[in-house]
Amino acid sequence: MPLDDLSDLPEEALLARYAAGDRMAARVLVLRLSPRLLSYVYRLLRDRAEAEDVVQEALLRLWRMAPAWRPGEARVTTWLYRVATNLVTDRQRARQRRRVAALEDAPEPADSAPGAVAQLIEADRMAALEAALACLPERQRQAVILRHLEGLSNPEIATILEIGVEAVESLTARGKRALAAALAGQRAELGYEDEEALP
Amino acid sequence: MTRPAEDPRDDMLNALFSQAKDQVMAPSPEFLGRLLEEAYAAQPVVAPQPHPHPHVARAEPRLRHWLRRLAPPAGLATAGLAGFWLGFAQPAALMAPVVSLGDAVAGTGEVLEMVDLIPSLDGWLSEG
Repeated sequence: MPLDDLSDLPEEALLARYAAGDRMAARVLVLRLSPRLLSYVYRLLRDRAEAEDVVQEALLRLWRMAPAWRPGEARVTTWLYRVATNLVTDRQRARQRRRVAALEDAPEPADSAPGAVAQLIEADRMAALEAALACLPERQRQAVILRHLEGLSNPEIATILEIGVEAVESLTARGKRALAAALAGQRAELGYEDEEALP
Repeated sequence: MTRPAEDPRDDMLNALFSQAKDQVMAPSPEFLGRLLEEAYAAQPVVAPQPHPHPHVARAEPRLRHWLRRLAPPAGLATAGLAGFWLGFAQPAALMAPVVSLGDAVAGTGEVLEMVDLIPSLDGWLSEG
């Protein structure tokens, strides 16, 4: 089947075709899923090589899962986000263990650190946002990114993070407040004061 | 009732979110190649249906036709032969399978005790 005919199909249908041996379905799924997933994982890890490893592993698990996939039970994207989030969490814990081992006496970084954000004097808006996001606690960061950058609904995020919808609401609200506080001092630096002054 | 004034920090944050949302990281061609390679390698192989030789394919309908026509007479012939053998065979020859079954079950060469499942009605019919 030509690529154009497959491009309108939902991921679940494409996965069923993949499991039936359709190579074009594999191609469409890779092209459709990998950019979004890579962006999400990169936002969490801030390391491209590591983000690529996680995406590769998450997709490999999806391919292995494909023959046993039961339609209607979960959305492919939600399932992938959950797998990727868990892989990222594992990597961040491993990173933390390495950091603790290397700097046993060094103080732990604070959860919200406006000072760290302020150090990014030359950073642009996206870099400032990324840095502020990096200062959030892990779960808050995941919830804020999924809600405000990936545009997922609260129930979807609840499924991905394996928590309740109310917990998602609380995480995103606290995360957003912490981000606003962290970026407050950079308003002029990021050019928002100038924009408001314009007629 | 008036709405509370919105925090200007929220405006900035929402603008940053909206800008960041549009930024999707483009995977490199090498990375996409790796992903595709893995996807193909992990893909289940569905065995294609074997195509019969053209001569066989042409002869198949005729073969099926003849087999369908031969099936009833073949069944009749088999049943007739079985009936013929049961009618003319010696009792010893008929008992041989029963003795073999006794060997297999009891390990003796004796004939299994037979139960007459359809007893004679003579006892019930006697007058008295």
